[in-house]
Amino acid sequence: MLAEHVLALFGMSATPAGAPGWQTALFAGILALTLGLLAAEKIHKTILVLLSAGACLFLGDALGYFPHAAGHHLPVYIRMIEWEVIGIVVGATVFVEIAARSGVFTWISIKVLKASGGDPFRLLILFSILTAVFSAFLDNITAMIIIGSLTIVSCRKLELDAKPFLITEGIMTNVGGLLTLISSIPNIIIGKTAGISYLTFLTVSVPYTVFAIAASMFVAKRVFGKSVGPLRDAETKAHNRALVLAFDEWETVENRRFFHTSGAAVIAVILLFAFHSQIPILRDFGIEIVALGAAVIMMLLHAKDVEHDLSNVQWSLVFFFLGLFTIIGVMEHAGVLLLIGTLLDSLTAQTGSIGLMWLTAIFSSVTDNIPLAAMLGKIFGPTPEAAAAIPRVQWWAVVFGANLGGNITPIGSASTVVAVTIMKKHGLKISFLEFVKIGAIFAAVQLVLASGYLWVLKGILT
Amino acid sequence: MRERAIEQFESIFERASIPVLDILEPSLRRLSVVLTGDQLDKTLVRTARYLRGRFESEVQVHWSDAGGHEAATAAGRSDGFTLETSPFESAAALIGQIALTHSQMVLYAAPENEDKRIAEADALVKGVAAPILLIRRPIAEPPAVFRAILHSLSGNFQQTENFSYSFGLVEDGGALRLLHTVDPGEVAAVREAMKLTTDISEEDEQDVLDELTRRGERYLKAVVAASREQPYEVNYRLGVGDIVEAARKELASGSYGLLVVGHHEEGHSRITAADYQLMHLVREIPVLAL
Repeated sequence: MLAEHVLALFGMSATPAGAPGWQTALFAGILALTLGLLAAEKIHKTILVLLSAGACLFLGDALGYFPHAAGHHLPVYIRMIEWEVIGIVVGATVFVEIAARSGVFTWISIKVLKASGGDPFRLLILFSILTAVFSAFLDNITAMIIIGSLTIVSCRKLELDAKPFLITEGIMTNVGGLLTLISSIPNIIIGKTAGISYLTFLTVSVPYTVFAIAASMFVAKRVFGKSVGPLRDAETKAHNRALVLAFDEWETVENRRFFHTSGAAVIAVILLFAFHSQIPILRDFGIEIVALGAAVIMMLLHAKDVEHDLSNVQWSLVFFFLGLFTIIGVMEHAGVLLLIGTLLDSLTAQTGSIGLMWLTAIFSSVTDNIPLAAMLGKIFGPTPEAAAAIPRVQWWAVVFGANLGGNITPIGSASTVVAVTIMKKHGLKISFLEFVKIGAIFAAVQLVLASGYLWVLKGILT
Repeated sequence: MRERAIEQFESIFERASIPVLDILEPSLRRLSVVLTGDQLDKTLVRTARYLRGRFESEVQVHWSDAGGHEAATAAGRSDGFTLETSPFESAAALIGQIALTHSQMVLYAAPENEDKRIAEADALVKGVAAPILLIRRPIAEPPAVFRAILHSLSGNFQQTENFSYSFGLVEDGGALRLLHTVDPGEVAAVREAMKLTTDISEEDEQDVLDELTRRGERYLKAVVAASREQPYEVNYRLGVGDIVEAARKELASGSYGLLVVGHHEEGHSRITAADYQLMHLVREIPVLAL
């Protein structure tokens, strides 16, 4: 009864998917419970999602959602899974893990540190840009771990407070996460659903990222004040310069041949990602083939420890995807996604894509942005035709909201969690509220900027 | 998992964080020259004259009854060197004289005769706090001695003071090479002396050597970095094996003018067995025993 009341509120008695209202409400309840438990972080997210997926499958089957063909057939949940997304995640993780082992990224980090001359403000700007760029090609966690570790070591040497740098870097990983189609999982999901190419993604995201970095630097200077201010005294400048020049980037490289081949491979893979749609044969496959192919070639070139390389794949994330896509698949059958879509429509009727972005950001700040992006992807683009019919700017609203929302709270994204972990490890105390006070300023500026950018995009893309 | 990755990257960057050394050039305002009537007396005087020109040093001449007085008097007359009022009669007396002058470097013609060497040269190196420049061959052009210097590093080489003399003496536009080796024999000896297990695997042994090599290299890089603004070049060579063999090979392959050995600890000269060997094996070029 209650379910039917809720549905009636939104003008629905039963879903167009064919499931009766009470069934939609039942599955919506399961989804709400799953998302609530995910946000509470009391149970490991992979276990939780797999349990929920199992429950959804059994219930869905009992309610006759899935047709059973005779003879050989693929299980219904196999078809629900976005294998392209999993392919990109697995391929890119293996590739990046091997490349990172070569010292390519640590080498670049030290070069950037040296370029700062030990000046706090230049260090903040350069490390922020580096964090954003690394986040574009590495996963955000790895990018934060590399830059965060160097920040701690260099700040200790330069006798600087590392906290403002780490907070800014944590936030910049999410800005950098906007840069490319493979920078973050929401980008991969939305890009794949909306059919956005790597190059198109880059063309749209780069201008915003540049503005967002510049604005964030302005905010950082205002928020952190003197602790990130430029040096004035010539003697201190010379002293700090000597300290950073003493870093030896080659100390992080164990094998120069490995380093050079990895560096070349990173450049080649970026180019392949960018131009794969123009390369014969390769264009017939998805972008995941580039990621998986790059991983296989790297393993072949550095076949010393393939078992170890493969163990670095975030298998918990892969299983999380399996469960998540299954849940979303069942939710689609149960009409829950349509219900959420209708809800979203009513909530953003006045504000359009800008409202959608803010809503997505608020949800992302308290819960995992992956299920959110996956759900929104499926809601707006259940089929390629439906996805193509959606205004482009709406997809970008989801991308901006899902990435930038993580900056509001320390638990909003994995990279801010890493930043806080590094701070705690070194006795740099920061409370949840203290982070929110700072993070919210950054996120607000970035989201306001993104709102303006979406408004401009709307004019260009339509 | 994340904590482990953070620790791992922090240690990588700590390793890359080379220490910043401040290597001060030594004061060579007071030199001592030991003249014994040897054919090398002229070379000693010529070298002292050159060093006085570079470092504006006061030169004190110590002379022996055996024939050093004539050369000392000549040097005093023509170069304005200060003569000791009395000759030295033994190595101990010479050490006493040098101690009183507070010399910062002693120029000394090392005797070829082994008995004399043990009685005098070794006693001098051990007894005098200041470095001894041992000369065994005539030197026509003293600046050439300081254009290419090989500094052999053994024992406790991580003493910033060790590099002061090498840095100070190398000519502008010249080159200083630091040579250090990690000796597997020494590693085994330390293990035995510490009564550690002797049956460690080859892999473990290699790990120890790698770690020692890495530490050595890190320090050598810091020394090289300290010379960044200097008008001369400093580089290093790091190997595995016996330092004496490595130094001899290096000397044979390059046109060095001076070999520097030994190190200072708490104001005293320390000569390791390898330094001692090199000090006496190398005769073609002067050896500075720190």
